[in-house]
Amino acid sequence: MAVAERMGDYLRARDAAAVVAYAEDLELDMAHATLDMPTSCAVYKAQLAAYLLLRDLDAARFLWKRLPPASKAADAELAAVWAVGKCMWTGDRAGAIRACGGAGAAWSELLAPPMEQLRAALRAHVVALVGASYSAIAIADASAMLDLPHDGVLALAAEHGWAVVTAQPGQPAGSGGGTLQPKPLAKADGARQDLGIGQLAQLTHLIAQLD
Amino acid sequence: MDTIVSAITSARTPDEHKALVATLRSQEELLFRHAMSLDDLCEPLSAPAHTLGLVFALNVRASALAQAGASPLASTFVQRCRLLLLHADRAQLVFAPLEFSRLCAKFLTFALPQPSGALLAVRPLLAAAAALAPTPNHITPVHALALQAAILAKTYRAALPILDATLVQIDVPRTGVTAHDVLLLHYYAGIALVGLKRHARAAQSFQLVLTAPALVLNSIIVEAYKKWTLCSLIASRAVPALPRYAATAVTRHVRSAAGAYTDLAGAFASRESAKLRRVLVQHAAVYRKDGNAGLVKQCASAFDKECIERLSRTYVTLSLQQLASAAGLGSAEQAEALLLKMAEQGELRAQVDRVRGMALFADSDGPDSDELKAGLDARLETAVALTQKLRALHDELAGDASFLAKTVTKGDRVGARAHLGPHHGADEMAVM
Repeated sequence: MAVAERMGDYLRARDAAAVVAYAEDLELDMAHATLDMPTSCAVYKAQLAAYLLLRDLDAARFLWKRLPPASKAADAELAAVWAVGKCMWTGDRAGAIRACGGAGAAWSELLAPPMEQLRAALRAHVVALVGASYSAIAIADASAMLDLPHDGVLALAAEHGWAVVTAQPGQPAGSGGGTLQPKPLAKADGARQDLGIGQLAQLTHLIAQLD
Repeated sequence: MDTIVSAITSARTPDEHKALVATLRSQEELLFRHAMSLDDLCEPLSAPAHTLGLVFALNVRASALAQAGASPLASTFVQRCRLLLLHADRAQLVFAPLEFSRLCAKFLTFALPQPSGALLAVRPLLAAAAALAPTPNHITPVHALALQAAILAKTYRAALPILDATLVQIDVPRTGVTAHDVLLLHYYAGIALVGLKRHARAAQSFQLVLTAPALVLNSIIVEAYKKWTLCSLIASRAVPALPRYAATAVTRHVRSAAGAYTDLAGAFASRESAKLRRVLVQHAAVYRKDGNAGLVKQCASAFDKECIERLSRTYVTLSLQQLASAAGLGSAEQAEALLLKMAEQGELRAQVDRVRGMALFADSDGPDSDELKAGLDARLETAVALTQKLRALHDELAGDASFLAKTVTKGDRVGARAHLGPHHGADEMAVM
C-alpha cells in the first residue's frame, strides 16, 4: 500500500519527475514482482501519465511496449491513458484532449489529478501553437483543434486579445460563423536569468582554463 | 572442496584475495567436478565479503548449466548472480577482472529467457560496470553488456549513466577490455541514443566505431555505417565524408557493403522527392531485415522537413497547395500538418492563413537570449571539462615509458616535448 500512497502523493503534488524517478527505480529493482496486481497497475498508470505530462512520448511508448501483457489485460484504465499518448504520438491534438476526458470523467482517484492537469496542459499547448502559427483560422476549425465549443473559442479569443472577424455575405463561407486572427501569446515574465556573481565565476573559471 | 570453502571465507586482506585467486584458478578442475553441488557451496557466501569466491563458483556453475541445459536451476543461478553483481566488492574485482566480465556475459545469457527477461539484468549490469571500472571514465567489457540489456528491455533511459559518462580510458590489465568490447560499446551506445531520439550524438557514437583502427571490415563496422548514414541524415540532413583518420579498409569497402543506404543518401542529396520514395520502396525489405525501418521512416520525414525549410528560405509567402507540390507532399492538409509539427518542435516559424490557404514564413527572431545563454553556458562547461580530461591524458602519455621509448631518440628529450607540445591539443579545445 505504501507504494500506491507515495505515488498518489507525488501526483497530487504535481511532481511528474518524482513519479518517473520512483517508478523507474521500482521497475529496475524488479519490485513489481513483489506487488499485487492492482498496485503494480497503479504504478504503471501513474508512470505513463507522468511521461505524458513531461511530453516524453518516446519513454511513454517504450513503457507501453514493455508492459507485461497481464497488466495490460488487468486494468482498462492503463489502455485509456495510453489512448491519450497514442493521440499525442500521431499529432491528433484534439483527440488527445478529448481522450483525457472532460470534467468529471471517470478516472480513478489516483489518476484524476494528473489527467486533469494533462488536459489543461494539452489545451494550453494547442492555444500557444494556434497563436504562434496561424494568422487567420475559421472559428469552427479552431473549435475542432481545441476541442472547445464555439463560445469557448470566443472567450479564449477575448482572453488573449485575438481579433474575431464575422463572416461577410460576400466572403466564402465555410467558416461557420467567422474567423479568428490569432496572435502569439505573451511570454511569461520572471523567467529571465540574472547576470550575477555566478556568471562572473563561470567566466573567471573559463579564462583560467584558457590561460 | 572444504579447503576451497575455508580459503574463500577466510580471505580478508588484498594479499589474501590475491592468493585466493591463484588458488581458485589452480583448482578450477576440482570446481568443475563438483559443479552440480556448487549451489550448496554458494549458500553461505554473501556478495560483498566473498565476491571472488562467488565469481569463480558461479562461472563454473554457468558452464555446467549450459552443458546440462537445465532450465529450472538457471533461475537460482540468475538470482544469485544478480545479487553478486549488485553488491560486488570493487577492491576484490581488481584481482579477477576477466572472470568477472565472463560471468556478466553468462548472466545476461541466462537472464534473457527468464520471464522478466532483459529488464532483470539492466541494473545488475550497470552496477557491475561501475564496480569493475577503476574510474568513471574507464571502458570495461561490462559496459557493452549493460547497454545491450537496456536496449533489449526497451529501458533506454536506464542507460543514461553510461551514455552521459565520458568513456575514454582503456586499461587492459585492470579491466580486460578488448577492441571488440570498445566497438560494441559505441555501437550499442549509438542504438540507445537513437531510442532517446538524440540522433546527432548517436551519429557521433557510430562514427567512433567507423574510425577505430581496423585491418578488415567486420559486421559491427558495417552495421554502424548503416545507422551512421541514417542518423546523419536525420540530424544534419546530409552524410558527411568519413574522417581522414578512418582506416583504409573501412573507407574503401564499407560503402559497397551497405548499398541500400548509400542509395538512400544519394536520393536524399538529390533533393528529388520522387527519387527518394523510389529508393524507399526498392530497398524496403533490406531496411526491415536490418531492423532500420523506423530510422528510415524518420529519414523520410527529415527529407520533407528539409524541403519545407528550403522553401521557407526562398519564399516569404506560398500557398499551401504550392508548398505541398513543391515539397512532394500529398495535399495542402499534409503541408499544413507538417508546418504545425515543425513549429511545435521549434524548427520553423511560419504563419498559416487557413482561410486563404497561404503560409507566411516569418524571419526567425533567433533563439531567446536566455535560452541562448543557457546553451552557451552548458557548452562552455563541457569544453572546460573536456580540456581538463585532455590535459590529464596528455600528462599521462608524456610520462608513459613505452611512448617515451618510441619518440625520444638518445639525448633528444627536448625533441619529445616539442613533438607533444605544451598541453598538446588542449588549448585548441579550450577555445572551441
